[in-house]
Amino acid sequence: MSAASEYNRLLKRQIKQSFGSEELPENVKKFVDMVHNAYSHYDVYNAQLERSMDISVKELNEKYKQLQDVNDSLDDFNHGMSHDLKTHAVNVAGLTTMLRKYYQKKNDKKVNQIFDRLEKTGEQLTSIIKGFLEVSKLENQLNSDKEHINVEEMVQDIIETLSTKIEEFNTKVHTDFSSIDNFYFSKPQLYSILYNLISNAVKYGKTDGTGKIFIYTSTDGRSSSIHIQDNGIGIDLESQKHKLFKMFSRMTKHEDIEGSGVGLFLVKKLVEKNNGSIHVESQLGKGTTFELRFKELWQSTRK
Amino acid sequence: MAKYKKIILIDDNDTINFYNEDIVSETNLFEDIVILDSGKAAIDYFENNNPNEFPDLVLLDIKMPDYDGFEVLDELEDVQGFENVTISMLTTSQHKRDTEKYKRYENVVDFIEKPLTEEKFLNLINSHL
Repeated sequence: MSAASEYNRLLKRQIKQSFGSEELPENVKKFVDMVHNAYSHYDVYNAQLERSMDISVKELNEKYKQLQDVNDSLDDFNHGMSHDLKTHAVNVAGLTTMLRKYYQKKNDKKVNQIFDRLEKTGEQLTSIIKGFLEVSKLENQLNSDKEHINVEEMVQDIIETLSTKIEEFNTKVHTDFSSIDNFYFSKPQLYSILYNLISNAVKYGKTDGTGKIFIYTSTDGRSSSIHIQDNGIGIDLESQKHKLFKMFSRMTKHEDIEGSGVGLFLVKKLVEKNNGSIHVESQLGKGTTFELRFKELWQSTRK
Repeated sequence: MAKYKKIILIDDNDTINFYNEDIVSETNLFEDIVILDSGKAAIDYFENNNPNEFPDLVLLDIKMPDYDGFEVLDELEDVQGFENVTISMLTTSQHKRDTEKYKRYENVVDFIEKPLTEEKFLNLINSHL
């Protein structure tokens, strides 16, 4: 019940007691009106205050959840990284003990096998540390100035950079930027996102000459999207979806496919930092499509 | 004729399996060394083989990407004959949570911190087989 109506009730009662059914004097009438106004203003002010407090509480809750998410992902990061590092460190220890034994026995074949494994373990360690640095760099990146970027050019650049692998696998890459070809984005961030996704499409795509990668943009009038589609090994989304964007999780046991496991984690972070969302569709053995959707309407310079 | 019939090594990291196998084969205590590289492979093995094919000893890694060591044990709880298999779990970290957890499983006799060494392995055999 508002203060104004409550006051009115009490005031009416008091007036009735003091004046009975007599006509109220003019000055008393004016006084009553003034006080009534004051209380109405008080009610309006109170309602506004409550509304803004509700918004503040809602904002606080949102910020809290965001911090929790960041904390969780940092926890995962620490956990994943320390386990992986420890595994490789443990391997170096075991392998060197083994190496000493076979060196003393003069078993060249075994010694070479062990050297190969030591080399591989070294590469894996480097890869993890590189991944860690990549992610830390992202956190420290204060400057993310946006600019107009010709996405078609950027994608062509990336394809050029990956050309050795693309040629090796004889993969065909098609693009279609007729819908949108211009993004307003931070150049290094967009490059990072697209490079990661396109290089994954190549790495996990078909390697026998039947590989097809399709990169295209689209819009639904409210948002702008870019799609990276491949016909490669696919991902078992049903069982793996929760791990897909986590740090250091690798979707495949194919250890010969190089990867530090931070790529998709980075991509998701960057996309979300830029007011976007990432969607995956995939079928094992058929292929995968990643869609990045941004709540902006970007242009096609051709139209 | 080696003293024991079979040992199974379960770890998703092939380098670990590589030198674990080396340590085990150097002892000449086992006829047969089987290597499985995932939790799923471990579950499949015990679900699809006769108990008389079961090993004398299993070295089971805890941290694996699909099913971790404990999840494997949970999945195989009802498999007949599995309760008689001696298991030692291998870990990269002496996490307090894990050391408590393994006590719940009757056939898990020990908990070894990686890397496995000849000494640790022989201790395990002498104490529990």
